[in-house]
Amino acid sequence: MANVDIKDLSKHFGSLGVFDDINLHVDDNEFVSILGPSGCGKTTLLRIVAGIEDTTAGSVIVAGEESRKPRPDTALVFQNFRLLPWRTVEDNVAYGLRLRGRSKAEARSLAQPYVMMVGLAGREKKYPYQLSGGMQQRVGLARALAVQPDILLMDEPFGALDAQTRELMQDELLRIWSADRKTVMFVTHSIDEAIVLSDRVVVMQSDPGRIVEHIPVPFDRPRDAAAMRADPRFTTLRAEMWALLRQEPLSSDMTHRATGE
Amino acid sequence: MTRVTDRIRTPSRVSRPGGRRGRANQQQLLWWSGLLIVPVIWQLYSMVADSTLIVGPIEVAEAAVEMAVDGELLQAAGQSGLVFLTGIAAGTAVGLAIGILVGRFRTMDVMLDPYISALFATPLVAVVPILIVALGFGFGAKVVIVAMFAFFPVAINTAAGVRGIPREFDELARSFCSSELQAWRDILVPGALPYIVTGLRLAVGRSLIAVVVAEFSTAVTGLGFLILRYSRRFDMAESLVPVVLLMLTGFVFYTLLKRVEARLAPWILRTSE
Amino acid sequence: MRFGFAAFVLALWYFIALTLGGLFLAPPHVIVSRLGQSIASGEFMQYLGPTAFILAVGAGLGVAVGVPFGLLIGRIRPLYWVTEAPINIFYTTPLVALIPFLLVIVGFNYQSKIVIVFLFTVLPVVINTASGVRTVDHDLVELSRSFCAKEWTVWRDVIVPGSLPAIMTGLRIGLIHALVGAVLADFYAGASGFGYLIILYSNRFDITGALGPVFVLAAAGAAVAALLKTAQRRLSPWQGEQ
Repeated sequence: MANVDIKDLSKHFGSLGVFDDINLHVDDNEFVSILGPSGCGKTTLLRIVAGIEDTTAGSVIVAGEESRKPRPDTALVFQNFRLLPWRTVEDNVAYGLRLRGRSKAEARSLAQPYVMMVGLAGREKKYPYQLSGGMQQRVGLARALAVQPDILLMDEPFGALDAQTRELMQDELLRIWSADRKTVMFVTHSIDEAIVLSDRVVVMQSDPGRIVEHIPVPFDRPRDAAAMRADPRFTTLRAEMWALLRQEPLSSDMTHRATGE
Repeated sequence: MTRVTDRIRTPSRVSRPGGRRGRANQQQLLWWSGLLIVPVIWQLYSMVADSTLIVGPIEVAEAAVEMAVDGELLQAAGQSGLVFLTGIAAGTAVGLAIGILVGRFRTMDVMLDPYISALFATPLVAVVPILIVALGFGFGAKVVIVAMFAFFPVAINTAAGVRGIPREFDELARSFCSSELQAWRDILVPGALPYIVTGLRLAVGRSLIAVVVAEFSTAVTGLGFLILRYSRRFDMAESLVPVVLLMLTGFVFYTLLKRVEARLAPWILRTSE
Repeated sequence: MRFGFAAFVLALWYFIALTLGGLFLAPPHVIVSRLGQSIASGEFMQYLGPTAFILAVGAGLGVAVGVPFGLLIGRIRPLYWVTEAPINIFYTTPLVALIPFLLVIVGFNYQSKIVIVFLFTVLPVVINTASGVRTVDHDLVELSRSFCAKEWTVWRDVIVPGSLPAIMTGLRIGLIHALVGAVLADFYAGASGFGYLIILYSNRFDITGALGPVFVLAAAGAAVAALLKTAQRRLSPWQGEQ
């Protein structure tokens, strides 16, 4: 069992409310994207599920247990990679394994398949500063996968990458995910990315942060991102999500500009 | 507390194309000749000077061989070395722990920082006679003195290094269910390591002073005692042998740790480019 | 919090002083009152005088020699490389080991004390000044050259102001070292001065008496460090917080 159940969750920073009474269920083996403008609390929501942020009210139930702390069966991938600069690629990937009591050699050999999986074979001994942004995030992904979590939590993992690298990484993630179909919560502000990757897109709006729609993505797997983008259903989904995001009150001036064209 | 160093950093110059190798060779040549100038002038002066008290490096070397054969130099060096190593190990261990606590926890910082900073600027040698009265003339007293000298630069630099580690690594550690001690091992110590080595290098210099002061003050064992004994008898060559040995020790440690500092953190050098 | 902890330290101090006895610690108020007596009787000034004198002369000489020499070797490259090894060797040597030797050569007198303080001061001043000059942006030197500046104008406009922060760091470290040198000189080179007062009391097992001068020295060290930090900020406002 690897599902996430978010019940009546509220989060306030002091008097500043981020969101109130969020309810969301993520099923076993489901890939769910949380799509929303900045400030809607999507990252905060993920951080609460990851157990590195407190809640104000409500509960998060992961795999049937109420959860407030980081758990060994979830793993988080950060937007800014957060690789340890003093560790090589393989030792960064082995980080989580070392924390679970493996010896250095053991952790390295257990990490090796994941280094290969993200396409970094031959770069085991490089330091993060010797890698491009895309390669650094491959390390971040491998580090999370190496602890064999049941649930993968991804916080705008490709947000810091350039457009081309981003699409390559999406393909890569599709390929890796199709191997064992873990439960994934994927936070993004890119509509395309959400459609290409997910089974279901949860659209949020801000002020106050709330979930406005659940949109299933009806493409079969395994998927081909390029073919998907050419598909008319993709365009329809895209337009539907755009319309939802446009109702966003804070980005109203952007909407005017968009409609004026 | 910010990092303390004994000097500001000289950035490596951007070398201009052409003649780079030639200049490096020239620098090497100058450096080595500088190294040789001191003993040469010293020797010449000792030969010109009209005094038996002024001995040259050759006489000192002869005395060193004699004392080495005799075994007394080795014995004294062993005694001093043991005090030095034990003291610096103890001082570094405590300094590391306190430094990490101060660098990591705001409360510790607020409470301890004023005392550590003030004591670092204090001429600690002034306390040595008091400590000897309190703790006696033995091995333990000397180790305490050396540890006290080594403690401050290590603690201050460790704290500064730990403070410089981005907080976001904390979240990374927590998200992987890392324990506090594992975070020390994986993040705080390696992250602060370049600073810690600088602290250690300063600690070596201060500890050598501490060893000599402690041995002068107790005057029963070690290289310090040898210096005192021979200089009181006006055997200048013999009294300079331990001095030269201490000089070499200081210089070797300094050069080695300087190298380690430079090599330790390639990622820091790269990101500042 | 800070004051709460200070109160705790004070309480701990009293506790240790009163339980473990007067072997290495005395209650603060007793130390202060003893210090007061010492000042009143003139003993304090009698011992402070010689130390202040050797400090002023020794450290003064150290700075007067160290700064110009540092500027020179920092600017003239071959000179820098020739002097690097010997300066570093003397810098890393525990200079205290040379004191007995100095006493024999120079004599058991004020001169040797001044030499000791001088040696402790001069090396950090030279080293920091030289690396300060070497860190001055070479582009700026080229810039003033391109305006046909003479060597001395380059010094005035670029090199001295550019290396001022480093010189101040050197002075700070040098003066703290000078204090250490002065105490050691008093310990080993003649029966005078503040350091000797500490030895005198320690040998009588009078820890309360010995702690007074120690605290005065500690205050002096902290004051020197704080003062020069402030001066450094004042003199080079363009540097920002370091």
